[in-house]
Amino acid sequence: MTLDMELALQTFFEESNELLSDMERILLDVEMDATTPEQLNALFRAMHTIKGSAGLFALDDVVRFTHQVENALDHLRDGSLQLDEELAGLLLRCHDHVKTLLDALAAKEALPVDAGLPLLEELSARLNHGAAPQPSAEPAPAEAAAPSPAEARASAWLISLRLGPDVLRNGMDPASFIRYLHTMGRIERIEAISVKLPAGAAFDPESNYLRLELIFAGEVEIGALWDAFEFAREDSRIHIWPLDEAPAHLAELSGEVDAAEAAALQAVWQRFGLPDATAPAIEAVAAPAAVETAAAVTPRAESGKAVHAEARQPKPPESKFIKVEAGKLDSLINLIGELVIAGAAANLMARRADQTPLVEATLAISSLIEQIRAGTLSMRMIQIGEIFNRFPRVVRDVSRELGKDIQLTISGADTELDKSMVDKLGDPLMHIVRNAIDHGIEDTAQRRAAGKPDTGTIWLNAYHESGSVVIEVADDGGGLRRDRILAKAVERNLVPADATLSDQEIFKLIFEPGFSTAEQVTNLSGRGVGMDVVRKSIEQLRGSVDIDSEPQLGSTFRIRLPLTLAIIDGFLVQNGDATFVVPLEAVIECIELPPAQQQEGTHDCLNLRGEILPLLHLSTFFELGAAPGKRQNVVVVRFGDSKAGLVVDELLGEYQTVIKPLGSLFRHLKAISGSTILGTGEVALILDIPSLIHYATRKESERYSPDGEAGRRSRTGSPS
Amino acid sequence: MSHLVTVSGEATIFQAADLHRTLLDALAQEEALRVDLSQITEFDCSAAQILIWLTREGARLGRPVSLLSPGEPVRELLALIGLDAELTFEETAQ
Repeated sequence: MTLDMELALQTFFEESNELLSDMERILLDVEMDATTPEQLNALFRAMHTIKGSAGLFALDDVVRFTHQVENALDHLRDGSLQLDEELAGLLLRCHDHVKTLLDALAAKEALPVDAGLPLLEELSARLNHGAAPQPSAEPAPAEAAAPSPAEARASAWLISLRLGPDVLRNGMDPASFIRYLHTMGRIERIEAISVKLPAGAAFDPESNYLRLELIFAGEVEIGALWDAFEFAREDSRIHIWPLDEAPAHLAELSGEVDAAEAAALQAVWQRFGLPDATAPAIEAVAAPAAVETAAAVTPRAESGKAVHAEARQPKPPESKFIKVEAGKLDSLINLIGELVIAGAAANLMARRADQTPLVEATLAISSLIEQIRAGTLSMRMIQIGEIFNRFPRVVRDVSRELGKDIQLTISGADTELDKSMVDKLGDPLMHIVRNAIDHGIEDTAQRRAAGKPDTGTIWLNAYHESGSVVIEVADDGGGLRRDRILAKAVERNLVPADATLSDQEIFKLIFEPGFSTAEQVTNLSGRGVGMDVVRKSIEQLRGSVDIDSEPQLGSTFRIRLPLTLAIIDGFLVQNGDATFVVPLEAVIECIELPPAQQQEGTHDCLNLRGEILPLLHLSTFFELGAAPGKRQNVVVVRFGDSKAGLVVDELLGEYQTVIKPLGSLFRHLKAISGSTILGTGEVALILDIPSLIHYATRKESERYSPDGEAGRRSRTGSPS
Repeated sequence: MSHLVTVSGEATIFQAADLHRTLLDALAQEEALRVDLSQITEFDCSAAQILIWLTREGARLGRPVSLLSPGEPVRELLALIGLDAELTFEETAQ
């Protein structure tokens, strides 16, 4: 039982967090444009649902706080309170407090209840202030504004609750619904009917047998009453009628239950002082059953004010999502990885046995495996919007703290990315954005002087590009100070004083440990910790960061990440006896190496349609020591903007590659990013294309530069 | 000679199965049962149902069952859901 409760609580936390992030999103949106009734309703429902669920778990502190917030939101909804920036800020802080409370609950820590008190005081101050100018006006416009029959109001209601047998087992105590009703109004009469409760062995102590009949007094809308029972609608029979209409329904209600319960029901209603409705009951029972339901329901639904409660009863369509534990998905992906390897082995055997039908069969299987692989991996894909969504709040808060006026523009939020990456991307991205706000965007005075609009802009953008995901954080600020970065780097001995570096190389210096150019250290960034951590965490995801920056125009940080971490489409190449995997997404084309260039000469370059392509002979590079094959091929690979050609003996074709990490012993190997197991059981190494390209291009540029890397190093080493 | 059962601490859905079994056993073994409710700190609808079942079962088997000294949590819940007329209690000083 306790375990079930834990699970239910877990669900409650998850749901509440979703609701809270909805709430946050809406509050941030409404600052930009006018509020719509839907938004206000959604805000209200978020608090209302959290309060309701918290009540079911007897989380009284949460209920107490959310009740007040809900109350304020209710006033917003009926128009007696206006949402302005100040109130939105206050509601955001209330949202934060609820989140803190829930987090503390989840961590089983003491609740920081007192922190909420000032918020509640502010709220009630706003409520009194907002309501004061129109004390009498409130009820009248509310009624005028709600002519819809669905919004029927009454001051007394008859509520008949036949909660399902499983409510107790599901952790809901019928009494908690009554407690909740107490917060909305007054319960004039209540009686429980227990005729269903069996004596003897048929009694199940965990089933609910009680039926509750009550008269509720309070100026509420029928919708609000229905909301109170939102969690119990499933297999429950709930009826809510305005008190004066109730007697007409007794017959219908009695028809739903057996004779003993009907008798008890009629007795209770009689004790409630409701007029005896035996006459219509007899009439209805006398009519054939089918006609009775049809006739009983339709005219009443048409009769305007009488809202037939059951019309609202159908539950909203089932959610289109199911929640799956991440671990289950991971083990499924592992298994598929093994399946890929086993499939490749089977295919190889079939080829060796030279049995064409068998080969065809294994090919069909591997195409299915590929589909399963793609499908499973796509289950792990989530939209990057999940991380982007937290940034409006960050930008809003941080820019306010710094007194800057900054707007955030998000695009490409629907770009999908592996879940495990999304989780690890939040912090580095947060750091870059904070950096952009803090250092990138200038203050208003400087912006005016530079002839820019007062409002700075930060762009968050994501898109897919040749097998990788690119995430851009751009600002229209002052740009990176090339000279200042260089000066700082020289001061810190990161580069020699006379080094000639490209802009890109200089910008990358900010990712060096302990680097910060900001003169003024704020409490946000500028402590010189972080950018190196940013680079490290992105490199851990097999990604890279580039920076573009123009003085006075702004900077763009571009993060490039692979789509997934577990299985990639590989391209298999062979050199001598060794097999290597090139990630297929990096391969642009394959060409034959012209015989003239078979020997590794001084010009280790290929003229590729007028473009110089640096070559890298894998045999030489890895010192394989095998004699080069008769015909050699070049695999043209690309990473970002740079290209290189890998010279290999044989092209073996595409291969689904399950990435197996290398042991920590090989962690520092630059040219190899992982390993995989081939169908034959042999191990193939996965080439780390970015570092190979880097090596090839540097080797080329060194050869042509009179002032090579080696020369520079020796000069700085000597005392000047 | 009537047997006294004291229910103490929480009496909610979490203890419902155990409480039911305890009372079922007690009812099977004893001629008459007295259940002391004064030590209950938490009480919900499931526990209320068990008490109803117990009185009905006692009546069915011809074994008198009396419920003693309900504390505040018990009274509060029974009043809340309108079950206070259903159960009768005996006040006895312990």
